[in-house]
Amino acid sequence: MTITLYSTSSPAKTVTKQLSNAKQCTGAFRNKDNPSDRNPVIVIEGARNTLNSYNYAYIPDFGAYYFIREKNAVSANTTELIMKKDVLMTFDAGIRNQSAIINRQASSSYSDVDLDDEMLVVKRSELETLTLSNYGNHTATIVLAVSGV
Amino acid sequence: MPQHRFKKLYNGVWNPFEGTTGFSQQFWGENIYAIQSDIPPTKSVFAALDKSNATEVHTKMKISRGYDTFCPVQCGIAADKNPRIFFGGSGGITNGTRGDSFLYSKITGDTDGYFGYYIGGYYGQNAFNEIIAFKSSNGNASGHTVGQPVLWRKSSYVTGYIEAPDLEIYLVYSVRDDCYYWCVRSIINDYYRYWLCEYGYAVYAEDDDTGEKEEDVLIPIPNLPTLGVANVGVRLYRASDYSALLSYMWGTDGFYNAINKLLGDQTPYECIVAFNVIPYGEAFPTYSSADIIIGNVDTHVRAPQTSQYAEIDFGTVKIPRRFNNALDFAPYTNVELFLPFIGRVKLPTDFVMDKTIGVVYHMDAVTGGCFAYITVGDIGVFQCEGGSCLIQLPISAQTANGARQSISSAMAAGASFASAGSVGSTITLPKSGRQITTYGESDVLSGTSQALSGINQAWSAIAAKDSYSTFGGLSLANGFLGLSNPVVYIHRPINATPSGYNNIVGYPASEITNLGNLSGFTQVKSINLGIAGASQEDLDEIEMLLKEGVIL
Repeated sequence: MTITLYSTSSPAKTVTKQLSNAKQCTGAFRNKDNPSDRNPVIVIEGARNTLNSYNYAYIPDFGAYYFIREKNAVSANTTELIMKKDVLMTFDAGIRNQSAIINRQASSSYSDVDLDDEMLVVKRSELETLTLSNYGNHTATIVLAVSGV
Repeated sequence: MPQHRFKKLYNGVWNPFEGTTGFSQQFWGENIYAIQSDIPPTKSVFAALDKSNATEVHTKMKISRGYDTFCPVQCGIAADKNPRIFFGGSGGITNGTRGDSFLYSKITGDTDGYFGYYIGGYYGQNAFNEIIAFKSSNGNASGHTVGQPVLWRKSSYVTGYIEAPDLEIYLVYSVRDDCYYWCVRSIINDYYRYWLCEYGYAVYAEDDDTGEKEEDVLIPIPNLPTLGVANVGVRLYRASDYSALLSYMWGTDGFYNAINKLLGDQTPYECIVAFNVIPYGEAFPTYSSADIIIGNVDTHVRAPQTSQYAEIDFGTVKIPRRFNNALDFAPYTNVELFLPFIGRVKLPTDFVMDKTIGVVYHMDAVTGGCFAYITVGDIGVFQCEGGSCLIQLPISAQTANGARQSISSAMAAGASFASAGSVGSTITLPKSGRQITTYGESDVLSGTSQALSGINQAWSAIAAKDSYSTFGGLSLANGFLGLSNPVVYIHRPINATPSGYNNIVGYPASEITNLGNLSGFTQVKSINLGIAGASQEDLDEIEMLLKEGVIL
C-alpha cells in the first residue's frame, strides 16, 4: 500500500489543514487481517531519522487523513507509525455542508456580541458622569399664594 | 386613529450609494419618523418637535467637503397610504444648478406615491439645499419613475458656508386635518417651512410590518395640570423680595394690631395658602404685576403673578456604549441618575444603553411637589420619580403653627393682653385653652412694656423655632444644598479581555446557519450530523469536536 506523509502546522482542531512537504511511502499494516481505519499502525520503508518533519498522513486505502502520534524505529530502514484518524479533515466537505446552532463564532458577522459572554474578563469598575444638554445654573424664587376676593 | 404614534422609517447610518468609494462617509441619517400630531404642524408644533428631542425625531444629513452632488431621497407617502423610506439616486449640481433629472426607485407594487427629498451641496463658499416634494407619475416597466416637482419646491442658498446645512425633515400627520405635512428646517439659517401634502391621504402611521417588533407606543410627558388653586380664587405671586409686603403685614401700627398679627387665627393671614422658596424660579412664568390681596385686604404691595405649575426641561443625554459587547449592559454596567430634590435612582441599563434619555420635571409651587419624568428614545416616559422641593416660610398662620404655639405660651404666661384686629372676635389660646375676647382697632389700647416684652419673646420664639418643614430624604432644604441639575452616573467595568480573543474562543452567537458559511473558530451548540461514509464512531467524534470548538 502507499501512504502520503505531510507536514502541517495547523492546529489539530482545524477542519481544513494546510499540508506541505508531501512524501510518498510504501508500507503495510501491522494488523494485516483486521486493520483499524481509526487508529491504524503502519510500518513504512524509511529510516526513523528521515521522518522527523512529518506529523500527518493520508492513506488512500481508507480515503482518510491521520495524525501521526508516534514514530518508532523498527529497523535501520523501516519505521512504525502509530496514527489516529483526523475526522475533521477527512470529512471536511461533509462537515461544511451541515447546519447547526452556533454557540460561538470568531466572526462578528455570525455572532452577537451583545450576548452575555463568559469569556470576557473584567476588573474593577470606574465611574463616568454625564450631564444633560440643558445643564445650567438655576435660581430660586419665592412664591406667595394667597386667597382673596 | 391613534394619537402620538410614531412610525420609524429608518434608523441608523444610511448610505444611498451603498459604499461606493468616495461616498461611504458622505451621508448619515438617523431615526426618521413620521409623526402624528393632534394639531396642524405650525411653526410652534415644529419648534415643539425640535425641542422635545431633535436628535431623535429629525432626519439630518450632511454633505462633506469635496463633493458637490448628492441626492438622497427621504421619506414619503406611498400608495399604500403609509409613510415609507425611499432610496435615491444621484444628481449633479454645477454652480448651484442641477443639471439633470432624477430617477427614483419605484417601490414594487406601488402605483402612485408622493414623496420628498432634499438635495444639498456647495459651490464656492455657498451652501445649497433644496427641498422638493414629488408625485411619482410614471409606472413604467423599468421600475423607475421620473419625478417632477408637482407639489412644491423650496430652495435656499446660504452664503458663507462651505458645507451644506443640515436639514431636519418631518413628515407630520395632523390628526385634525387628517393629512400629512412636510416640515423642513435648515439648522444653519433657521429656515423652516411646512407644507400640506396636497393629496391629504387619510393615513396613519401604523406599523404593519411582519416579523418585526411592533413599534412601541410613545408615552408622552403629560401636559401640566389645568386645575389648581387658581380655580378656587388663590392668586400666586413670585418675587425674590417680599420685604415691602412683610413691612405692611408686620408693621407696628399699634400694639393690639401687632398682637393680633402674631396670633394669626381668624385674621387675613389665614388667607396665605403658601409662602415658599421654590427652585428653578426661571421655569415659572412671570405675568404682569398686581396688588397682593390678602383676603379682602388690598395691601397695595405689587408683585408679578405666576402660575402654580411649571415644567423644567433638563434636556437629554445619550448613554454611549463603550465596549460594543455585553459589557455595555447589566450586570457589568450600571446606570444611575441623580435627580435634584429626589436623589439617585437606578435606571435599567438594558433599556437606556445606547439611547438618549431625558429628564423633565413638573413642579407645583404651592405644595412643593416635583415629579420627574425620565424618557428614553422612542418609548417616551419609562420611569417617574417624585419628590418635594420647597422651603416653607413661616409667614402664614398655618406654616407658623409651631412658632405660634410658642408665642401663645409665652404670652399666656407673661402677659395680659387684648388682641386688636380689623374685626373683633374671640380666640382660644392653643395651649391653655383660655378664651380671649379681641376688639376692633378702635378699641386698641396703648401698649405697655410688659406686653412689648411678650412680643419680643414671640419674635425670639420664631427665630429659635425650626421654621422649615422637611419632607425627608433629599427634598426641601436638603435639596437646595445639593446639585441642581440631573447627573448620569455610569458604572463601567474595566475590560481586561485580551484583544483578538475571538480568534481563539469566538464571540457568543445564537444562530442557525450552514457551517460552510463560517470561518475561524466555531463552536456548535447543537447539530444533527449526517455525513456519507462516516461511521457512527466518526460522527460521535465530529460532534464532540464541533461542540468543543473547531476552526473552519
